[in-house]
Amino acid sequence: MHRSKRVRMGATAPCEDVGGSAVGGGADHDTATSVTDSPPDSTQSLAPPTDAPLTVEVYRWYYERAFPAQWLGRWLSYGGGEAGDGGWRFRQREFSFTVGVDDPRWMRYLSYASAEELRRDLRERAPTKMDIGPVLNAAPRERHRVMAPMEVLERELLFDIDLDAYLDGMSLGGDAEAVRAQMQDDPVAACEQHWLYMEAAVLVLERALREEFGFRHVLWVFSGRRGVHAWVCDARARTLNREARTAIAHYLSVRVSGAAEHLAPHGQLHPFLTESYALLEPLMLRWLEQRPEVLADMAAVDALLRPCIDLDTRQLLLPLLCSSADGGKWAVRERWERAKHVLQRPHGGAGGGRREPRDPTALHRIVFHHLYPRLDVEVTKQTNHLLKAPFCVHPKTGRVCVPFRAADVQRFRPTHDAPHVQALLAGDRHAQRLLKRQVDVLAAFVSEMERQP
Amino acid sequence: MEVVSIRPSATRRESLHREGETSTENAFGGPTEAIDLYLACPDGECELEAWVAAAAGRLDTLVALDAVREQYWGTEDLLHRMQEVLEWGADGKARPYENGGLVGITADARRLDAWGHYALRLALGAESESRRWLARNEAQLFRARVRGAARGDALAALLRSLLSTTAAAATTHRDTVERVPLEQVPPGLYRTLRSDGYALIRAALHDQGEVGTGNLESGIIPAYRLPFERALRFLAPSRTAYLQDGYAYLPEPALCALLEEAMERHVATATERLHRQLSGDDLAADAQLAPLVTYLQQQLADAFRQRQRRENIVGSGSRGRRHPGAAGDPLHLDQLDEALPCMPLCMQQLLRQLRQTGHLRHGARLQLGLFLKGAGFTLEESLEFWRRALQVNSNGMRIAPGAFEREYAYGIRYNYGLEGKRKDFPPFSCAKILEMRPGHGEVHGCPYRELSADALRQELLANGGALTAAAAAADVEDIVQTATAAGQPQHACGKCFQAITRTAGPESTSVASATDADAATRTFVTQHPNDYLLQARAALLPSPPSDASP
Repeated sequence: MHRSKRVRMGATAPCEDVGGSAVGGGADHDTATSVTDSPPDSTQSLAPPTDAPLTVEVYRWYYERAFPAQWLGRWLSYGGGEAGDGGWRFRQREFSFTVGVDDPRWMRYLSYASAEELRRDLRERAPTKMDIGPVLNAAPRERHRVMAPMEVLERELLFDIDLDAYLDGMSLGGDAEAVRAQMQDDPVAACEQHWLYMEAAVLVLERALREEFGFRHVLWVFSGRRGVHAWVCDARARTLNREARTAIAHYLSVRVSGAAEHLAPHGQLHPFLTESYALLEPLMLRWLEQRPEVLADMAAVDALLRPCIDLDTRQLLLPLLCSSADGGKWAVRERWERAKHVLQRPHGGAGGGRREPRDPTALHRIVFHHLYPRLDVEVTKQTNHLLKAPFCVHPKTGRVCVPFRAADVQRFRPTHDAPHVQALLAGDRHAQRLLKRQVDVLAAFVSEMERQP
Repeated sequence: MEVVSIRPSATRRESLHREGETSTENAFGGPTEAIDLYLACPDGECELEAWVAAAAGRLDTLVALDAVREQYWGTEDLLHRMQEVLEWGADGKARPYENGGLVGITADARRLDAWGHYALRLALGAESESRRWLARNEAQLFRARVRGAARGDALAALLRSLLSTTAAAATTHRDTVERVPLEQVPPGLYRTLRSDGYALIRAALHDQGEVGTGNLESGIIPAYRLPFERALRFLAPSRTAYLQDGYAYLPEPALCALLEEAMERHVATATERLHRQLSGDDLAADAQLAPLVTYLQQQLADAFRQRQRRENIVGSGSRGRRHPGAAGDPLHLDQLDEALPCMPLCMQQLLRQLRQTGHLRHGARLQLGLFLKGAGFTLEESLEFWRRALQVNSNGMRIAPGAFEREYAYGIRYNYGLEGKRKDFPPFSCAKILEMRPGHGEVHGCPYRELSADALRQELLANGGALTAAAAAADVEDIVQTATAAGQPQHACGKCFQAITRTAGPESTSVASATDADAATRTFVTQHPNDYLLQARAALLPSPPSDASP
């Protein structure tokens, strides 16, 4: 199921109470298939011994020696914590664990009085995955003792972008089955190869969230496999209701083939679109340069142009962009500029015969369709969604799910910058230095938030 | 004449009062101040007879406004017609309070107006359906009044008072509506008003005799700003506000829409709160109130019934009655291909997508699945249909044998009320489908709303199998214009229905063609996809002889 990763409070999917007995994860949950299902040698792209199985001992070692529970605690208490006390926001935060390698169980409504307590429980249960839920009106583990129904008080504004949504663009000019196979077999390498999509998402959302919505504290996290998450942590963002989240999610979603209102074929574009386009156009050129096979193949160029609805404009652009027609004597940049130039030329110009207007936003359509971030809108809309915690180990890849600064997004390389837990365990210096640097990213983020809440 | 002086009992008065303290901006004197925000129930006594008359008259006005809005929605005429209702009432008698008399209105008339409003809250607020109806139409009335009386800063002041009744967002931003001085207006606002925001100012520009947007920078339309949380309707579905640093910048005409929305919310929440404090028994036990409450509830129920009747005559309902056998004839799996041209565009689109790609995402599966269930598919047929149709999963991987039973069959049984909540879910109505906006890569929702003119044209030509070549060009253009330019998806769908059934007329049964001339002049508005299918099958497909007569 497409929404299999999604977990809702009160959903009928089986789950386990704190300290309760084992319950299977059910088809509704990501970890239902155990880690051993995926071939252990699937992440060989890095030199360290990443092919060893991820056993409970590996996780335990990781939580004991490497996991930055203190920083996680300080972050989630939002300046409300005293020494040894996480503050009410931390105490009333829901955590959920997925425990066990071969037969994963899922535990919900966990909560902790302090970061130290969280660390102890992590060490004890050694979960293969930890999710962070909302701040509730009472400590989740005491929910049976509280008379009031559970209610979400605060939740970060979340964004989830997954490479899965870009399969059409990824397989342009190539073999779709091969792309799918790579996504299954070596998702981290696929993510690195197509990281430009994530770069586009980070640039566009970062600008809109800061400049338009006025948010200041956005934490970007590599999900450990093939996507990125954004946690918007401003107090204002945390207290948005569902209606506001829905409006934001739709404001930040661009549907090119949809209603005219989203991208009027004639006339001016909303400043949000022009600003986003200014960020995306250079990326589009880089994308085309990275993938010469797209422009070399007539059918692929045709597919590339499909978002442009006006057939005449498509016919016009096709020979300009396709490099097989002229033996590739133009560089990508020149092709693009020529296409732009043709669209800007007044209609019915020198030739005279042409009466019907061209679509002047054709290139906008193409750029938006292929590179504009494809958000999982439901994650943004809901306040009770559970999202994987930063610094978790992704159970299917063994990669640590690390935060990165938005300014560094272009340099970020998943196979290189997301340390493998086995490399950390083997004492690989480079991996350890990396992890330390990434903990510093979180630390700087938290300090900044405490200075300017 | 019996004059009963009635004074609400202490508890009731208190609950009416608790909803908001008396605002100083509510004290009347000038034209804007004369517009009541109904933040607090008026003090003093009221004669029962006058009260009953005020409440009944007010309900008449609201019913008339509702009818006008439904009839003229989306047309230029709407505001004008509403103004007519306000000035002349449902019965054609001039109303002193509305008749441009806001300035010189007496305190008594004003108090009576408020009593009328609170009577409706008491009488119609107990059930969520009538409460929503009341809030929506009170907001309409309010907006029409404001339109005649308030401008600029006075509008902003009204909006501030109304917004102060709801909790402020946790924000460091000033939670207020403020005028932006001309030199501080961000240029992005002008760019917004020249693109997607143009619809907001078109009428205002026209009123000022402006032909284009060339003079915006000289401040012909004042600008306001407020925290974006307060202006969500201008963020989505279309981006009509300009956002900067957490504020939404809007042109003055947008404030009217915000006022209407704030009033609707205010009436709905205040009424709900009132009825949470009162129990139905309180009202029934009160000898003086009970007759009034019953009377008003009766009036509204009558109005609802009348509208229902009108819809049945105007809408496609009458066709169903002409073919009772065919109309009730359930659709079965083996008839699917034959029924395809009788389906509304949304369902044709989903079926085509499903056949082409071997997959539909969640929203689309729900929309199509419930539609087929409603059309007559049994559980076994539904399972069989989806088992055959779903070839790949959402990641584009082929669905392994057995995976269907594990991942998809649950959802189908759920729809039939056999799993989970065990509720027999009804098929989606047009209203519901219009609300479901598809995200990226999703195809559910209403194509007349979601597709651009070009895409819709292609879709109609590709799918509208029953649109014959002769009729196609003009009809398709008409349908496309209705959907995109006029923004009336349900009307557009109705026109498609008409085009299909009209061209088929001569070939279909004599019963249908007899009234075809009639049907051609009527407006069809599709309300429910299953209804569409029933009527279209009845008109297009020859019904089995055994079923032809009831």
